[in-house]
Amino acid sequence: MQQAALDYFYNDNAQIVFRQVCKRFPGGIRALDDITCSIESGEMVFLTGHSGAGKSSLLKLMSMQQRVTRGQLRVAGRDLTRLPVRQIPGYRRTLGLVFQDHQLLMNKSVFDNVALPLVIAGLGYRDIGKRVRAALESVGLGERGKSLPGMMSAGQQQRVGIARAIVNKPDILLADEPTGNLDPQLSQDIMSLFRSFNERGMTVIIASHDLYLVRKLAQRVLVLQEGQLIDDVDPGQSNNRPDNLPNHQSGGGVAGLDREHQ
Amino acid sequence: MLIESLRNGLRGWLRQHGYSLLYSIGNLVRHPLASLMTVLVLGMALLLPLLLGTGLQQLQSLRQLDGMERISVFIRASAAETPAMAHDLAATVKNWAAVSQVEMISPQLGLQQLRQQGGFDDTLDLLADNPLPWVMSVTPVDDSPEQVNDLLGQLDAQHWAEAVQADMGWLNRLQSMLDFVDAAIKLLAALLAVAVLLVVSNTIRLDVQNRQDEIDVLALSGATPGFMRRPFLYTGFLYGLLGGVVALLMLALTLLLLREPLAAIGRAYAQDLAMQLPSIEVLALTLLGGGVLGLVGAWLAVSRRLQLLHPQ
Repeated sequence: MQQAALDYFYNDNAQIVFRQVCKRFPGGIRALDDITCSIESGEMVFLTGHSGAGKSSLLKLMSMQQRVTRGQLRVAGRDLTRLPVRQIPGYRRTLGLVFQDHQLLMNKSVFDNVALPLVIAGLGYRDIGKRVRAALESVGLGERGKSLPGMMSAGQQQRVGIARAIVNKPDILLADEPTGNLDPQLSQDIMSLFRSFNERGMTVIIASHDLYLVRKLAQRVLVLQEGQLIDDVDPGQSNNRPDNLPNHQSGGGVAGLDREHQ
Repeated sequence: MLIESLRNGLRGWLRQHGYSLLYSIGNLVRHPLASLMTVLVLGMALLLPLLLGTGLQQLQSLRQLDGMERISVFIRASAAETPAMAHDLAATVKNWAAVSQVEMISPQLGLQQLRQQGGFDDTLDLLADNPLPWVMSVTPVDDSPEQVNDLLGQLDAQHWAEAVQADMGWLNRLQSMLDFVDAAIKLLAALLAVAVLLVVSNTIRLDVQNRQDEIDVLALSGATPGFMRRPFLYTGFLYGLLGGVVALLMLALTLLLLREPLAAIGRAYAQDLAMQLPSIEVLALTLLGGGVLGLVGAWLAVSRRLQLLHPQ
């Protein structure tokens, strides 16, 4: 997409603002280049592109796992470019993170896994119990609190990961390939969960290369290629629907389209 | 409002500490053999200086064997013409601050003791009268060579003192030896403290490595470095504290085993020799010192790892 179109979506007062953001790794490896866009509070946005396009890097910048090399990144009024190290934990507590490999602690029960952000926040045992049960209910695992993650299916483990991400009522939910290891039906279920959290006001940003799911949910899509933002497709805009995602996304084994062809 | 907020903050902080402490105890209990081995190694390292220190304390008491610390003052005949005059002198010296005990040995008693030591009977029989003077045996409060030397000079300056005698050579040799052993023990204690630090640090480093995934999840969930560090610090502290407990138990056992052989040596010197447990301060210092060393070792191991979590 042309610069003018990108500028159209740029809003300095939005919840998340990327302004000419670059990320380079030692050795000059360019992960992100001149990313400019904004995401409003309450939006649901997909980041898509091939492997190595920069989807995960973008999420890592937002979760402060990495710092911006050049440009400016603002999230909920915080300038992450200059955020002091001691303020990072507090900032991260306003986020919910979901990972492709779930990142659950396998020696702890489902309850303990989900309770982790609340323990970190120093909540009382009664409050923790109440909120963990509510989070597990919301992902359909109300009765599995005492189970160990190793005894659950991949889909259930991902639900535990989602429950942990939302238990602290975050403003923003970031998910990195949350359906990467799941079959199509489970993937749809997981996406429905994200949709339902978004409908309740949570900003949800999902990195996914599964175009089938992306199209099905008809949400805004940021398309990345070789570290650059090449398209910003918003179904709310006329002639600008996710159905019109560029064809270069379909090559090279992009999961969704492969499935569609079948 | 402010008080309520402070109260909630304090409650949250205490809960986090409770969580960390329980987690650390659980971690030790979940790996009983590994924990026991670590605690025993730490206990041995803490025991060695403790045992040597107790031994040194016992060596100090060697000064008292055969009355080596005592000063003998030979009284002029004119100053002790009667037993009453001699005992008055004793009473005067007894009041000195540096003097612990004074014993007067009459010429008759001296002669009797000489006979008892044997070998002089024929010579003593040749004597027309008793040539021995009154002797004042003075035990100093402080038996260090400096103090004994000071008291020696003070007694020598008295007009009634004919001659003053103390085995300063023995005292000096013993003191030099004790000073050397004391310095060696302190050096060894410092080296073993470093060993404790390294053992705990390495154990915690391995623990951190094994729980790397958990640390990453905690960091991404918004845990502060303090929150992530705390369970490891408690584990290090508990290792050191338990190491101290093991050291004290092993010390008590060692002293029990050495009690009889030491008493036998004491009997040979007509002394009551028994190794005593160190003072309560030393025992408390061992426990606390072990805990603090464990804490510092853990801090060193964790802080380095947590620094790697800073975003680049």
